[in-house]
Amino acid sequence: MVLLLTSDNEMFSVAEDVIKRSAYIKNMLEDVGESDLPIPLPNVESNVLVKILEYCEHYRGEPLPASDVDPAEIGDRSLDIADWDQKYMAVDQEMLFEIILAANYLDIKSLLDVGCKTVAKMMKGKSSEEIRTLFNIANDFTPEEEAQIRKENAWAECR
Amino acid sequence: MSLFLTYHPHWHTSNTLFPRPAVRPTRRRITLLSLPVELLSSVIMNLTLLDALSARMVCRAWHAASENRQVWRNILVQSIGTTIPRPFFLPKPIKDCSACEIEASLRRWAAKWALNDPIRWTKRLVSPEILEGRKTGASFSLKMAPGGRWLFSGYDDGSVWCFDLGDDWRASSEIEPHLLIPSAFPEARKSGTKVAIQIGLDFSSEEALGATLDTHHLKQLTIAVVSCLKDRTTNAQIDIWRVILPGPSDGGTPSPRSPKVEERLSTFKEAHMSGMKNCCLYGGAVAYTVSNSLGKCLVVVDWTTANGKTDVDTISRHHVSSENPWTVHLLPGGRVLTGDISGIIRLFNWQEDCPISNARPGQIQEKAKHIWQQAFIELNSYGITTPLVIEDRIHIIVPTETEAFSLTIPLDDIKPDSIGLVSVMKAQIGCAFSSQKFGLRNGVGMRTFTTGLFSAQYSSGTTASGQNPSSINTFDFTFPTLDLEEPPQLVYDQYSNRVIFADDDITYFYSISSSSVHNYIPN
Repeated sequence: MVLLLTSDNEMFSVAEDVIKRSAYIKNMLEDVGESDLPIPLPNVESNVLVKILEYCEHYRGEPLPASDVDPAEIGDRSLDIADWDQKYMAVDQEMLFEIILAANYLDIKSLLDVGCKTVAKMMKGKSSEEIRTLFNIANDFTPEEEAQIRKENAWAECR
Repeated sequence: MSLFLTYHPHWHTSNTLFPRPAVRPTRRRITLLSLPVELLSSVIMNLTLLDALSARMVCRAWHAASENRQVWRNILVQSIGTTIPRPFFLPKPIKDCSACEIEASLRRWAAKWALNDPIRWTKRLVSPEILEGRKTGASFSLKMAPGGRWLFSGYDDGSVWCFDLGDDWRASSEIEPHLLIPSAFPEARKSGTKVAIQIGLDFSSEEALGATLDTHHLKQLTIAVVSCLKDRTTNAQIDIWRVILPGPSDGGTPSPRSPKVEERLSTFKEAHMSGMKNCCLYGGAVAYTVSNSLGKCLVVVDWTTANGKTDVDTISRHHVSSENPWTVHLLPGGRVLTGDISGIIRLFNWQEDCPISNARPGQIQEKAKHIWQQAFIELNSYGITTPLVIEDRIHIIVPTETEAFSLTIPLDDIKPDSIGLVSVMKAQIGCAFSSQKFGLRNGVGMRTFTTGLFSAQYSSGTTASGQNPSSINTFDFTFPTLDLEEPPQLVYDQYSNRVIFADDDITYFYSISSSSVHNYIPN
């Protein structure tokens, strides 16, 4: 079992083969070896870690991705997301971004990929104004900058 | 306070069993913009071109995230074969392309495109000293390789020349022609006998492209040269060559300084022909339309088995049609599309349905069984586009004087009812068929044989909305050179949106500029 200490000071005891989906922790275990000391995760809150562990538990036993392959270099970037992953990602926006940040920090490539695809899917077919509304983002371009970008994009059938 | 928990997969659903702190510490509010810019890039690289452009207009953070080579590389790789054709062609190998260059290539393909109004052009002369001796030579079957840089033409002495237009559409420097393939009939020039010649380029098949399929940069292609002395007796000559184009070296074979033929893949004789209208090369097959004393006909020959044959009665030919074939396009899957003089387009499976024999072209009177046919009014047979593969269909544009159609054929289904034909544009395009060229989304050309230009845009019938918006722009234009005896030859490349006119013996080129080229220049 591996001990994990979250940012809100909760301690988790997790089976090693579950948490090894995190390349960050896998490397740490290989470097440090067996230890009774908890691994501190100052960037991950307990409610997020629970969600992350749910993912790792689901994929327990599946082969880990080869560490030297950058998933971004693989040809398949389609927005197809497995059914289970879709249900797993059916959370509010804040949790979705928390999962992405935690997956990035813990270096769980497949989860990070699903997270990014989920956000991309939400943006699909939307205008920039619709994207701003969806994610509550302010338009921080100066009018000149915006005009310039509009000009650059003018050739396309922009929405 | 430290809490000690053992993780259980269903913990979060049964967590009432475990006491949790009632009050959570005050925490930051997480939004999309809490993600570091490299994660925003990871999101954008999953989008399509148009969605990525919307994303970049959202705010500065998204804009910064879009300026990343990996983003555009992935959008491109994801688009190839799904929204843009496979193979696709970049100005240099993908590993050497910057974010800007990849984006520009995608943009050019997707651009709403029109010629500039008023028409702007750059005239480029072809170096006269090299043209010496070509002066009497007329050019036949001027063809452009995808990317808009390389032009190929056969001449009526039987030679094939290549022109390097470079990547800069604004260049006005002289163009140096390169002799690519000497005439198969060197005696023709001395005796003054003309040579009928047609060339066909293959830049689509795996056999022709080699490593280009991985780098998305045209490094090599194959060329078919069908030539025949116009003396009514000598046999015709058919040669297939592999051409290597200059460009960044891929570390293997050093890149040549000018295009050169690397290897003659096949050479064989064909019965004498009085004329030929067209030639097409795809993979291991070459097709050509022949006029001879028996009439007009179309044959397809497997050039790998014909290689080395000098006795024309030993060549195995697939006899496609004995009606009046005009244009020919070989398609993947052993199929061939023909356009004939009366406006009928037919699709054949030449491998299975066309009689194969050693009979000479025109000797087989039996009509081959076609898969599909359609008659068109005022068909522009010249304008039928090179077949492109997107998703699992072959896409072809069929223009007529007043309308353009999108013809789609499944890659691996030969049932006639799986073939789609939809109108993508209704517009009076004009009748100067030989000076009009079309792509999957755009067309351009002369409206009459001497004056007036048009540029047209249409959707190729794959839009989600089911609507096919189209538009046509027309321009008053008279060629500044008045000594044109024939309508100018036109070439158009839909990967670069380059439009080039040339006179009939290629002493100059006019490069016509268009909006998408002007509006976006990679820095």
